[in-house]
Amino acid sequence: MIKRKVNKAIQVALVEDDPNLRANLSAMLNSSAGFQCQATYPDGKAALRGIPANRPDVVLMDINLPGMLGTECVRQLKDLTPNLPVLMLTVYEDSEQIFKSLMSGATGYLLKRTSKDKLLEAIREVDAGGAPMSRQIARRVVQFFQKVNELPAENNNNNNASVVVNLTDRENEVLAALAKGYAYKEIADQLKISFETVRTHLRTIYEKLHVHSRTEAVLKYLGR
Amino acid sequence: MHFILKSTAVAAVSLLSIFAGVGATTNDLSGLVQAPIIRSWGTEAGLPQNTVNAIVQSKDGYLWLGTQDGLARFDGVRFKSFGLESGLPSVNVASLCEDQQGILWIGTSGAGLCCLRQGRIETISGPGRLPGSGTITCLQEDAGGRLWVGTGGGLLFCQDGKLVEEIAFAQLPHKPINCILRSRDGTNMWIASTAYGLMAWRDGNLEPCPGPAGHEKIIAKTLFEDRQNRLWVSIGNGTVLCRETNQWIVFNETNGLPFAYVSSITQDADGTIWAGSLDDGLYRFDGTQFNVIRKSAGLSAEDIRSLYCDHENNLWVGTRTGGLNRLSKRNLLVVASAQGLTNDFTRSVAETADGSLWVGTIGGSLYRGGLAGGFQPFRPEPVGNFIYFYAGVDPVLAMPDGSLWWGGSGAVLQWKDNHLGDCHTNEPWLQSVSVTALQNDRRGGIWIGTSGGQLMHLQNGRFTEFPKQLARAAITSLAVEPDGSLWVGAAAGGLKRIREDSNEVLSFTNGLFSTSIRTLYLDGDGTLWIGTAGGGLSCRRNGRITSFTASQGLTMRTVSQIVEDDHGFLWLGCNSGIFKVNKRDLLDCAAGQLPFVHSRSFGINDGMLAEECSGGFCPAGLKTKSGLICISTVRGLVFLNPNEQRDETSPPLALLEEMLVNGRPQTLTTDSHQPFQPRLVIAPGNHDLELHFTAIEFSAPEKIGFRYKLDGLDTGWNEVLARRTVYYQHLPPGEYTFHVQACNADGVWSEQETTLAVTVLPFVWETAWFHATTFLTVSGVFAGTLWWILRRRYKLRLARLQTINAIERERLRISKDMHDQVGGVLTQVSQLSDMGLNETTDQVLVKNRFERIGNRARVAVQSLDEIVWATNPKNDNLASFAEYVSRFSDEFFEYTNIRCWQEVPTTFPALPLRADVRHNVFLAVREAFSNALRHAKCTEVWLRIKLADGQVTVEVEDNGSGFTPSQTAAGGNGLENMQARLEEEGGHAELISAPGQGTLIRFTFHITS
Repeated sequence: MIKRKVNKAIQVALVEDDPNLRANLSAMLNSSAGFQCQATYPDGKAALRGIPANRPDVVLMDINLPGMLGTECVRQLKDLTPNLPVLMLTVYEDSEQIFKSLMSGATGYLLKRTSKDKLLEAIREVDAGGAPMSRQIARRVVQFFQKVNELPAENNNNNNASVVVNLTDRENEVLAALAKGYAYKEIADQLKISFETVRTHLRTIYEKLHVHSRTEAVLKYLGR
Repeated sequence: MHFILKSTAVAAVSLLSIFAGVGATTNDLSGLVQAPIIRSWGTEAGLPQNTVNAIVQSKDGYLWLGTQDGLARFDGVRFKSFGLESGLPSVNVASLCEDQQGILWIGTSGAGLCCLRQGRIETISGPGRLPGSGTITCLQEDAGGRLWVGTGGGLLFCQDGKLVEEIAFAQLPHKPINCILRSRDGTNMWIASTAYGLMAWRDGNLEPCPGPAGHEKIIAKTLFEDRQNRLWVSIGNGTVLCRETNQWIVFNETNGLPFAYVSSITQDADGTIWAGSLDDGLYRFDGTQFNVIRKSAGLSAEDIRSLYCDHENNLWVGTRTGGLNRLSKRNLLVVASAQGLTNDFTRSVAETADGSLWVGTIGGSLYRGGLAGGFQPFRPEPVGNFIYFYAGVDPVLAMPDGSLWWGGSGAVLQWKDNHLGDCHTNEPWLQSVSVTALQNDRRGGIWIGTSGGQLMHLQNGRFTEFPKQLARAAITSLAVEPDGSLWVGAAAGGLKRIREDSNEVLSFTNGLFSTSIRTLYLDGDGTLWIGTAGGGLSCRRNGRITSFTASQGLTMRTVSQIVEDDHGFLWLGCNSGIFKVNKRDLLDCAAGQLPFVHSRSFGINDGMLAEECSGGFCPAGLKTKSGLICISTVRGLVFLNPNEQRDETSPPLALLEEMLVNGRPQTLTTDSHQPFQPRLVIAPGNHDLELHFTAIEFSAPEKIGFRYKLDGLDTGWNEVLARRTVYYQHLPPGEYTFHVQACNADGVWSEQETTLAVTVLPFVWETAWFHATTFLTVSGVFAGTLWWILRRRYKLRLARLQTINAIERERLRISKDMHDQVGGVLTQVSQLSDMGLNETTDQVLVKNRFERIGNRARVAVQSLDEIVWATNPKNDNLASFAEYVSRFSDEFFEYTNIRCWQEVPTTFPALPLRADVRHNVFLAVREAFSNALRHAKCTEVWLRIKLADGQVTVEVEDNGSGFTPSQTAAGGNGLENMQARLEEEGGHAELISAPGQGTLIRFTFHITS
């Protein structure tokens, strides 16, 4: 992952249609040491024009945008700037939408009611190359890869072998521990790997999810 | 019918006399003579079709309309159509006539005659061979009660349900009849035909009736006899004949008649003759000339087919293409764009000593004018380099010295001695606010209120700001007491009072229903009248504020203008029109001596262009020097003459239109010993009753109110305004009486009420004697079986009702949750922010308040999240339940010292789970979490969800102190409740605990795929 230069504020781009929320969030970011709200965008179209040019460090994106949905915006943004971490923002925990955006390439999600400290913490984490994952999402991921494995074999044969990617045993172990409620540190201790490796595993899991979002068979499974 | 307000004999001034003066002083009075109030109804309003060939009002008050797509019955609000399905032989209705027995005769075009008798249509057969006799052109009942039927094939009579020819008229050829008319004295029957002209049937003889020279053979299109016994005959293009005491007068195009022939003539209650032309408008006869009323005056179409004047003196106009029109009396005068107010969103009005009226508008600045000459925008030449034109002018104030002040956005301006005077446009305090209120004090100074809540005082060109903050919202009203103290009303925060030469502010909110003040009026007796937004009218007298309620007869919620006339009446400008109330009544009501105050309302039906009166500025409303009341509205200025007596309309009688039992229309049975009491008998088991009622009034039909009650069920009257239907569900067997009454636009209830006796018959087992007989008779077995079958049906019904009740309960619970959880928390948030705002010194406290606001708001969103989850049917499955509970536990224990472990499978089949079940289990899990957190002193909690053999197990376990289950207080952990709920679903709840052993709560329930 790209390493940050030290002592420079994290540049955050914000995609949010509610003007009040947008103003509050950007003011909150700008008033926090180490963060700067680089730009705000009211919708997906504007974000797709602005973000690739401005190169922020992290993008916060509302799921329910008018016109182009946040999930779709992430997918297109990921094609333009593959390494840019995107955190989804949502009012309600609509697991379908959240999972869809993770498939599209987002590296986590946050509730809009999340406290300031937690929000900043999450931005810091993704900026540092981390990939925050809740246990419900971990469970969903496991469930998803189980289904992918059960997909008819001809799909696997016809397509490029690299397209259907399964989780490694280690990754499954990490997810299982996460689903039970263990913290990253505890998972690292249990599996006798470094903290950094746990984060790398999670990041890889997100990327594998994202890879699958382009597989036709998987798209079919998702019913899109 | 008079359309210009008439002056009464005693009145010194009336609008008419203002108009009368117009001719002498101005060259344009056309703009001031106001057209009648015209309202129209077409297919979009429920009329079956837009051609109204015939109009008649039946004795019960309904207006009946013959159209080309059936017959329609109109009560002022709703049309009920009768077509082929109702038994009409053809939908093309050409003529209508109600006879003395109340039978409505319906003549169709092509399919003969039928009649409506006691709600049913009966067809009348005619002599089939007669060509053209299927087309009924006209119907008339003679003095002897015989129905004369004019057809396309000659004259026929209706006798014993058949159409017959009469020998006495054998000499008339079988040619189309145009028109038949009975003379007012009943001695003559006039028969008009193209073939043989006009004939009169008198004393058993048929005589031809020749016309004046040049019109000897009268080919009449329509006939009418007015109350002065003049016979009016329309004879074709541009000509109408009138016979008065055997002298013929000929009216033609020189009298203003159109070339298109007159198709209908009638006379209104004021004696005015009206004529409708085939395609060229409606004509009002003024004694010599016919004056046209066209589409431009509001008529929906100019092709008139029928005219009718109803019992309330409304003129109804049926057209070929534009449906139905109503012309009614104008009770007020509106000055709007047609009178020069190019912007008619009017605000303050003032009258200066020279008789000029000045009105501020939103967007069009200030206008000057008068009732006589109309209004013009006021654009004085600027003096110096300031801008004088301000688009929005709220307050306009006429000073005793003859000068005029007005305020706009960022400016206070003066017009004095025909020049711009003391104008202020660059005051720093005015930069971002507009002036909303102006009020002169008793020393020649002016109080100025702004939209920003500032109060300024202007004296001798110098402004002084009132040093204390009075209001956080716009100052809407100011009033000065004789002792010099000032009343201040603002859009928020209630009423304030400032003593003269003092900075002390007294605040008044006690007794006010709304603290948003719209207007203040201080009357000569020292009573302060307060108009509020949302809280209606209030008054302050002898130091006490009283507010008037809808149950006391004052239904208006927002009062924006209050003007008193010279007769002790208050005129209130409201959002729903103008109300006139007797001040004495109001004071008596405030003193508790009068329970109810009658008010009269004026609105669209009286000629207003919009019913919303503007407000939020001062001065608001005006009594002109001539005594007229002027109220500004969002569409023009309204002038009312307090001397003008409006016709008292007696409240209409409520009528029962339809009775439905379980959705099916019912017929009435009449009691043998109470023949005048209609009775509805409902069979056992059918217990849903729906009643439709109406009241017929055509002047202000939408303002008719109703009240009803069902004796035996309702304890008091239920009042409704627009609704004309009532439902009673699951009426238990018994005897009831339904009562309904109507009130008119002035809120006066009809003395008469309409009643309906309702009997709901019981099932066999619902009667006492049944049980006795079942035991007594040998056929008890048979009866028992019968009883069992019926009972079972009854039980099924009960079960269904219980399901409905469960849904009701769930809805109640959700709304309660919304209110308690979300509403409660948001209230705390607002309180905390208020407290934070007031706290200016202690930074720590402010920070603490903000923290609490944040926390409470997050709690509110979470509660909402839970309600959304609980109500969304998408979540009615096990997988969604598991995910939600898991997520909830994460959040629940996030900031605690307790670790929450979850043993929840990654996949669950999507088994359906009922909303109430999943919500109940969720509530129980939450309760278990709370107990663990509060009482268990634990460090770890386990959440387990398992599915095995169609049984779901949810466990919450902790490693805390535990307890002996029998020792807990009953209901202390809600387990009994939970147990009961789960048992309904075939599940159960159990609690395993012992001191030092932690606690395990297990919920199990069945789930089916």
